[in-house]
Amino acid sequence: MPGLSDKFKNAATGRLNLAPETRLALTLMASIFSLIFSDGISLGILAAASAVYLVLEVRPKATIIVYIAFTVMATVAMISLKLLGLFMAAMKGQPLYAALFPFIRMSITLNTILPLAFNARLSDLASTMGRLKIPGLIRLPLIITVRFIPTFFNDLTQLREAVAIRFRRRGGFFFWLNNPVIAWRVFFMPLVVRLIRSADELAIAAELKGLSASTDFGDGRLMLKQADRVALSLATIGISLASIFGNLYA
Amino acid sequence: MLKVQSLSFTHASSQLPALTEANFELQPGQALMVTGPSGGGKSTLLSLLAGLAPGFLKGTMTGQILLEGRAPQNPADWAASVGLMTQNPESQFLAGSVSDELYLTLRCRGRTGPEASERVKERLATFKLESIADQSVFKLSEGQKQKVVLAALTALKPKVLLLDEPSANLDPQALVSLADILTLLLAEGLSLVIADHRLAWLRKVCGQVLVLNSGRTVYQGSWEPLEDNRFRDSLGLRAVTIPNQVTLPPAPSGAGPGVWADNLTFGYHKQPPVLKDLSVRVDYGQVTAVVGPSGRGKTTLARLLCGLEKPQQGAIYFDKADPHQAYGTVVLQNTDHQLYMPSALAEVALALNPGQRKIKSPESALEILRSYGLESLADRHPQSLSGGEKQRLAVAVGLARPGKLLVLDEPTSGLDGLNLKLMSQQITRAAENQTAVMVITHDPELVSLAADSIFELKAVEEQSIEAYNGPVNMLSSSKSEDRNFTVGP
Repeated sequence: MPGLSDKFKNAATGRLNLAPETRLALTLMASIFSLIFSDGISLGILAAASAVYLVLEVRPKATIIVYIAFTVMATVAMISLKLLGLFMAAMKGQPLYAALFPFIRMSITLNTILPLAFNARLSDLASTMGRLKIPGLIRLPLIITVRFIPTFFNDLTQLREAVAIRFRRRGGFFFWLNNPVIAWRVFFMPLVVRLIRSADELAIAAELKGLSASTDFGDGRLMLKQADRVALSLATIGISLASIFGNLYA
Repeated sequence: MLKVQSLSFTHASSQLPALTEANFELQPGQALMVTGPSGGGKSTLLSLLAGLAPGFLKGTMTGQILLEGRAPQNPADWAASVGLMTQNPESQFLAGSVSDELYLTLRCRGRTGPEASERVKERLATFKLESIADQSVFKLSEGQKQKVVLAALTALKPKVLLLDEPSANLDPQALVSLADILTLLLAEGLSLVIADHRLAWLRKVCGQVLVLNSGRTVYQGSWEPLEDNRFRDSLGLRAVTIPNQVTLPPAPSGAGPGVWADNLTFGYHKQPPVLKDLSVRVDYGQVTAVVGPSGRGKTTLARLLCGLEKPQQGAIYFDKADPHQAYGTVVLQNTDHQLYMPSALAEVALALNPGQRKIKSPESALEILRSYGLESLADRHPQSLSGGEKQRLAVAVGLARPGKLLVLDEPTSGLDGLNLKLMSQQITRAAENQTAVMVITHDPELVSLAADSIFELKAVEEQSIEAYNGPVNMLSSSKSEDRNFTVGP
């Protein structure tokens, strides 16, 4: 972002100059308050604030891919809700936007976990958790979740390339339109298999490295810089505003 | 140091045991080579020795594994003593960049920050990885990935090191250097178990041999019986000696170029060029092998030829007489993303008749599967096949597609002797059918069996030469600095 001084932005990477502790704290704050808030206004403010953080931290291409997948999921959920309403009395009269709430909550967490996945060094993250005395049982799944995101993007890239090689000469979009079953298999089957395998492989990699067992990982002192203090203060202000406006207009 | 007693294992998804009554003992400084046909139980044995059962490897295990006289009780015990490199090195990365991967590995084992930083620098230098220290692990070549995992494992100085197919993606020069490093580690008291199909490079490293077939030990002892061709052929094993220099007879006259590239220059995302002023041509009716150390741009060349990348300078020309030729058929190394259908038969049938929902001409598809030794797996889901089986299926699919240009990236990595011969026969047959075949390979045995000409990809500053047809010394480069590893402390 032009205009942000070097105190706030890393000149080499173009990302915000935040400590891993700060990124982790922002993720935790966003996740917890996305569960606490139950009204649309509070959740909307939190989603908007976290989206600003995402835009400042993650490259647009990755953000767009994630949100396309997200929009597809939300649309399928709303259509399913409408269809269920036709057959189940209990589901009748449910407003469509009700199906959106879980997705808004998920998007808030996603907006803050993506910067963690793309910008924080995993060793820094592990050190931070060690310093905070987070037990291995929690540390391991957290690290694997964060690491899973770039793996997913890598799988998407490889799948796109494999499809491009194999089906390039088949008439492009119209080939897929004429062959929806093949299209479904080609795009989703390898992706599902890879997602399952990647999760397993990452867990094995972490276990082989001894990540769950390492107890004295975190050394050094917590050093929050000006950028970290500003980011945490803004996050606190954002959450407070979301709470106030949520109560005012509820 | 390591004692295995009556070790057996049956996968939860199978009735038949993957490993039956394995027994051996290794003292500090001793190395065991485990070989045998694909699916013989080698990887299962290594996974068990790394303590992955029952946590990750679901099934029933009987027998005992003793490390320094006692059975490890938990993952921490295993991780503290044993290092495992799996067949797919990418699956072992946890961090995002090369240096962070090494640093994280060391920190997990209790090294302080400064200690770990110092050791990372030393390992990067030893494995000649300095130039890619900050690179994303996803952007590395398969050979580079393997080197990073090895660098991380050896940095920890484990008591037992387990390597599953370490030669699969390493070039012959790198293997010589790796053998030197392993010999040094053995001298320091490490115990080593290496499962591999390529045997020749292990002769000076491993004193003991274990041959597994269908999970059973069919031979255990010294190297001598492996000298016998009939013994090796009966088990589908590879050669135990490979000549240093591969010299091919004069290439048969090709039926004109299927693809040719003029003065190609390419680099990734503002990085220095990987390929510079490179010219290469692949003729119809010929198998052209592309060889050279890891990271020289062999896979990049394949990506350019199939249109996944655009050259920054220069151009690629295809034979316009062939309507299917605009970009060739390429089979890349990672086959997981290239197989989609519910059965191996349907996969080949789709390649033969794209767009057909029902399997047409199953006989033709079955015939293709038969030629790759996959007939019995026709109804199996492609993603449930072993790595070697998936590799053969991906190549079968590649050859079933229309078009007369085929580029194969490391088609024999991880294949046993029998399947190596099968693969080379199919590649040769494709060339005989006037397909222009380019094979990117580190495998001297494949080059000897199938190649008509060799193109040696040199360092960027030397790439201005034309395609090279002639003898290539696969095991030693003319320049000493071309060696991939340096043997250090």
